[in-house]
Amino acid sequence: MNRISRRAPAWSALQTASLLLLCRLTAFFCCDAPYTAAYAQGMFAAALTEAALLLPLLLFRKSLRIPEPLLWGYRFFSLVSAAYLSARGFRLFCLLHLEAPHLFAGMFFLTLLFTVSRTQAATARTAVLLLVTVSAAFLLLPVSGIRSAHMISLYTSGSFSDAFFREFRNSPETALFPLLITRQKAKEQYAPHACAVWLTGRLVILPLLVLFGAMQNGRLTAWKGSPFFLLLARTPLSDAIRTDGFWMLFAAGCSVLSITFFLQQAMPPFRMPVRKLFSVMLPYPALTLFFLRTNRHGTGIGIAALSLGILLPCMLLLIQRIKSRMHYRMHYNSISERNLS
Amino acid sequence: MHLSNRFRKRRRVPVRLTDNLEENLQMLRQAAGCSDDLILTRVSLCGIPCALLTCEGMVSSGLLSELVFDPLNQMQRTFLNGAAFLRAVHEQKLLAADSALTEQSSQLFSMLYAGFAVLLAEGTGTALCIGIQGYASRSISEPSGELNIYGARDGFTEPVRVNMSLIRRRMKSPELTFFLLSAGTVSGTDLCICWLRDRVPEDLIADIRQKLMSLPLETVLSSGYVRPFLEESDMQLVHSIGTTERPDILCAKLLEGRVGILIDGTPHALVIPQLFCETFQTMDDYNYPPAYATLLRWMKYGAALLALLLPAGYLAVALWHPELLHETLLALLTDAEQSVPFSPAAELIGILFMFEIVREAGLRLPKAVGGAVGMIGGLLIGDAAVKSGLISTPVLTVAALSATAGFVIPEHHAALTVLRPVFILAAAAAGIPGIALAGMVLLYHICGTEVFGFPVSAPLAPLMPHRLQDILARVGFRRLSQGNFRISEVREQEEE
Repeated sequence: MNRISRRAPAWSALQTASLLLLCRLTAFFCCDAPYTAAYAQGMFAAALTEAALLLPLLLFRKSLRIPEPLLWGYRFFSLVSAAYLSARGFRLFCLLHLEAPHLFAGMFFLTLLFTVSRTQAATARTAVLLLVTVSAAFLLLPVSGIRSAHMISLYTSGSFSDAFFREFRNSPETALFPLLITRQKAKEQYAPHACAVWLTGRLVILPLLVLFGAMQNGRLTAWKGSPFFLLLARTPLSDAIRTDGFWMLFAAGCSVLSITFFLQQAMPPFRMPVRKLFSVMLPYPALTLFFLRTNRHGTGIGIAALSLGILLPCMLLLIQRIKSRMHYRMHYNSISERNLS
Repeated sequence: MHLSNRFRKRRRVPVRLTDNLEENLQMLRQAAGCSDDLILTRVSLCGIPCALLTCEGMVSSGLLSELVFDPLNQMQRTFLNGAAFLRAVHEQKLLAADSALTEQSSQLFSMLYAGFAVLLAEGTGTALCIGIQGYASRSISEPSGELNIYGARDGFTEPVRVNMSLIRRRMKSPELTFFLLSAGTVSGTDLCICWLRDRVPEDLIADIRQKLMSLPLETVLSSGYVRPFLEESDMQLVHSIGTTERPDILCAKLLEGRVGILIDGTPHALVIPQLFCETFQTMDDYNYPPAYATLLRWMKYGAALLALLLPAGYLAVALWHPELLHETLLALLTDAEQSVPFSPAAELIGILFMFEIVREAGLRLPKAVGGAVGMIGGLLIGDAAVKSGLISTPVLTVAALSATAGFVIPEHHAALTVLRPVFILAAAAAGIPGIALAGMVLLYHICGTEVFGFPVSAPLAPLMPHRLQDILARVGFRRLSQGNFRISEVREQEEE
């Protein structure tokens, strides 16, 4: 008989791999480098290097212990990665020439507010669902784009080393591998399966997609209508970015998911009220930063003031609770000591 | 199951019966507030003064005379006292299959108002309860909410015991277990948990039982009263606990290791857990040829997407991404929108709001008037509003298509009604990226919904590829029967 446990379920290998791949896909969607054969080669070589680095980690995973200070290091790194991806995402969405970017920013952070407050299990399940959908969409690309693919486009010039180093810049999630593969030590097959799925995505599917995208270059001039094409054929700052509905859907979805993933990794194992407070606080500094960055100082300061006004009572309440709990504990200890004596 | 275990939770103050019959009758009458539906028959049996209490309309008069009056009148023995008399009747006379002795007034009332006849005798603080229920109820008929073409035509009805028999008739296995309990501090409604012992974890049953026994309700009038207390959150748009009016569907669910809850007074049974994908399945899918059933299933998925995303998608494309449209279509839309005074978003929300008003009016009014309201509403929105130039034809077409598509999946009507305006507002604010953000919130909501540790997003998340044969397609029964699905697999899969 199965035990129904109340704890949050552990991630499966597929869920872990999906999360890692989606983080990479976010950077892939946000990157406006043109697709060339060198880009695909660089991507492949970088993934191969990362895989080689992971091999010893995989072999010694059972004896791997992550000390507390290092855990805090990972948390800080996750926070930085979330900020990095947020910045990339904003830059991308600014390119969409939205008429009300502040409205979109507000919606984006409201979405983050909701997703961060969900459980890690929900994030992992959403990742699998999103990856399955993205993969199904990617499968349609070769089918619909095969006629307009030209081998000659592969000879477009590009720098291999640029692509190689860009790949390391765009995959911060790889650094979290030690944290993730030790998540389920009891399951023998968890880490190898997760690595196998991740490697299939990174080594095979992504470079092939870039290669196929490269073969579509120059097709834009003769484009007639399918939004599927533009997923791969966009060029930096071209009108394609504005018109690509299909690609936009996934870019926004993947951004939300990967930022949520990093933020949840960054969150210490707080009790629920503290975690909720943390997730409630998140959007305010982010929105403030956004408005200050876009030279809307008044709005930025306004939001900061508003957030302080809203959150100050919550903070005070929390401090009060912690104090009363400490007081209760001291009182309880003194009573038990008295009883013992 | 022993009868005394059945009525566990009745929050009346328990008073013990005394040896004096008159005192007992006085106390019971007072406790019942001299209610007129309490029928008291005084009778002397074997020389012992006795009283028979029944509740009007709850017992069968035929059974009363056949199972109680006739056998008791024929008794010729003499007894020392009332206690010996009642013990003899209970142990030696087979009056009814369902009978029990009680000493508590609270339990006595529970049984009395459940349709038992209660026999009290002088000289004993014990009462004999004899099950001769026979109240009027709706006969078994085809369920109106879950129609099908090939399946069985019988549906659940209001009395819980009739519903139990409908399930038992289909599953003669000794593993099928029913557990009766009572909920509602005032109503004392009978609830029945049913499950297959070899397929459901014991702690799941214990959890459900514990939650049902601690329901903080005065009455349970329908399944909607119980469901929120079993689900993990009040804010769920996607139900993790399903309902069905069909015994065949409930039996199919029990076979997969789920738990059913029958509620007295309602023909809707609860099924724990319900996966999101299953809301697109019907009993007829398994009677049609697989290819046709698969086509129907995909049509339903498409209809769900249309119902949710068509208005938002139209708005996003019309307002923010006109490049995605064909030139002819773009010209058509521009022409239509130019002569309308409102923005497309206001038009869409207004039409959908009107549609909901007409639907609700048609639903609540008597059938004859309801049809007329639907007709007038249709004429008003469909013809007059377009001719007067208040709304454009493309917007009306989009709203009508979306509303009609929503009827294909009635299970999600409430969720669609709430989500459609949200998606429309998101599309109006930020176009396709806005829809993507709203979609992510919905995905997170679905993926984060659990009940008793079962995620409703299974078998897609956690991904169970071998179970997708009944989700992405409907394969033939030969392949379906190769690996019988058990709901407990969902939890096992997530931990692998």
